[in-house]
Amino acid sequence: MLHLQQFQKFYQRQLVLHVEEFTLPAGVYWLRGSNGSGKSTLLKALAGMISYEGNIVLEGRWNLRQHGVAYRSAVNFAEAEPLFPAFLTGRELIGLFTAAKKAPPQQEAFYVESMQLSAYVHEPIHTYSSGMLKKLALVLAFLGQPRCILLDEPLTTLEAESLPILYAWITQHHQQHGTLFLLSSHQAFEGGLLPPVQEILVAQQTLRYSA
Amino acid sequence: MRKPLTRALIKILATGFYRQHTGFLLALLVLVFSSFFYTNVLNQTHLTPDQQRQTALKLALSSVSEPWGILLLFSLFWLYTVKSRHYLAARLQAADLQFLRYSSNALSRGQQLQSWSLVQLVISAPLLIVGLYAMAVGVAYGYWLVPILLPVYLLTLTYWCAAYYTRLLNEQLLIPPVQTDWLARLRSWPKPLFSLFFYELLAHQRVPFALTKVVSLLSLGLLFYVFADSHTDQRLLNLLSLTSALAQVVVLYQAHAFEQSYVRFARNFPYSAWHQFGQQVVLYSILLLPELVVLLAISPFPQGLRAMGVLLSVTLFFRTLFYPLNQRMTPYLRLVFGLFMSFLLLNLFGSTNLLIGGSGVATGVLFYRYREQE
Repeated sequence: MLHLQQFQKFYQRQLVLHVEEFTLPAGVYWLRGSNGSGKSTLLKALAGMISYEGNIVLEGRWNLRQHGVAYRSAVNFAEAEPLFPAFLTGRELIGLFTAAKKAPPQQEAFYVESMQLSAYVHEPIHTYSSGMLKKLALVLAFLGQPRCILLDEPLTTLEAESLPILYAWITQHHQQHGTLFLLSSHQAFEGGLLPPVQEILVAQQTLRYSA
Repeated sequence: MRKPLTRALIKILATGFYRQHTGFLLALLVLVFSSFFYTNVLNQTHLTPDQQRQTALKLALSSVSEPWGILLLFSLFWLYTVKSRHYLAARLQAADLQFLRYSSNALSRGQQLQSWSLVQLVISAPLLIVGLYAMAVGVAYGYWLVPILLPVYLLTLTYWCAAYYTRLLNEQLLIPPVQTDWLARLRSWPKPLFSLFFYELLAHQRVPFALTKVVSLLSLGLLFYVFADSHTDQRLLNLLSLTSALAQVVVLYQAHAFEQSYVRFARNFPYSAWHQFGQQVVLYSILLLPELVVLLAISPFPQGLRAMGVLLSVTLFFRTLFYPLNQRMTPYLRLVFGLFMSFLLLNLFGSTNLLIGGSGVATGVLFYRYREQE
């Protein structure tokens, strides 16, 4: 469960988001909103990557402000347009995430294999196409023991064959560990492949559940 | 200037060039160009006004009258142009400028050449100023060779660069990654999070890094040589540290830009503020290793150790100033130069502990408070 209290985000003194109280019980959520509505900003703040005002609390225990280390251990994030140092290989990047997120040994093998990354995971990032980079970012977001996974535009640049694989990961993780997923996208998620998806609308600088 | 392509290129590339090289250009201005324009010599009461003027213009006069001076001036122009050419060629490979490969080349070759020439001229503005000054001095003192050759030389260099950029975009040329084999050897080396910027310097920022080290170590050597009688004076060692910290400004900017773009993902890592701060300390201890070793080698151990403390804490302070200011280079440089002057004053009064402690505390506060700022 993720809880926001008096959450506010300003950019250059201009209010971008204001959420008085909002609770997301474990589940799969589709974050919708027009371009520039603040979806990515919200996800980055929830990932503990940018400053904000108010409180973000995970499962009633970990307040991001007070328990940042425990919170970030439990919340993973994949950016819409991931950027990584060009000289690192995919394998080295996985190593960094494995160490930081305290992932069990060989945990990545399943994800690398199923997303068909094995052929180029040893190559430097600068040789990757945008689709390959996206797949790698998604693998990284599943490493460790996350209680919440935030995926910003996970469908963008991803080939059609990889979508069912991603949906299967989400379904499996949610069913086995009760993981909360928050996915932002302009496209609708295909019914049947995912657990019931609830829509959250980001508009007029705030959040609300879609009717 | 009214052409949209020229306007866009100047805005993106010339501005980017100046932003990225502000530190070096300022250092160049202070160390080289200021003497070139006017060399102030003390105790010249025995000279006539005309002799005084000639002494003050000695460097500029040499650059138009002496063969070695002319060679030096032309070499400086050549080096600056090659440096800017490398910068622009590398930028044209970047993802954010790929649109030029399917937009700018719709214009005629002549129009493109014209736009690129203007961009190169804007980038060469410091050379134009120095060149015009040298020409004026040459004309005033009757040395005609440089005033005649220099415009031709500058225009040739400008055309050489413009033709290169046009060719890169029209023939869709990609510059292959430099020294891939050399980099491949680094692949087996461990790359913990703190070391990523060090590898970035080795992979993509070798020239600025090498120049920073040259400037930093040269200034250490020069000051040490000038103040030959004060080698055990803590204030001299601190002065060396402060100068060396100032010389790192370009690398510090690169570090911030790299962290904001390519290591942004690490903000989601479960590392405490202390852990992250420790990583910065380790990184800069490695980057400053040559200077730290020199400081320790040239001074008695306790003084050397304190000078090392000054260098590390002030460099870290200069680095963390980027967090609240982000990549706004002009206020940053103003602040850094102001702080540098204040630190020099503090040093004159022998406040080494205050320098180390104050910088350390300020670094910690800035880092803790602003590290998540975008």
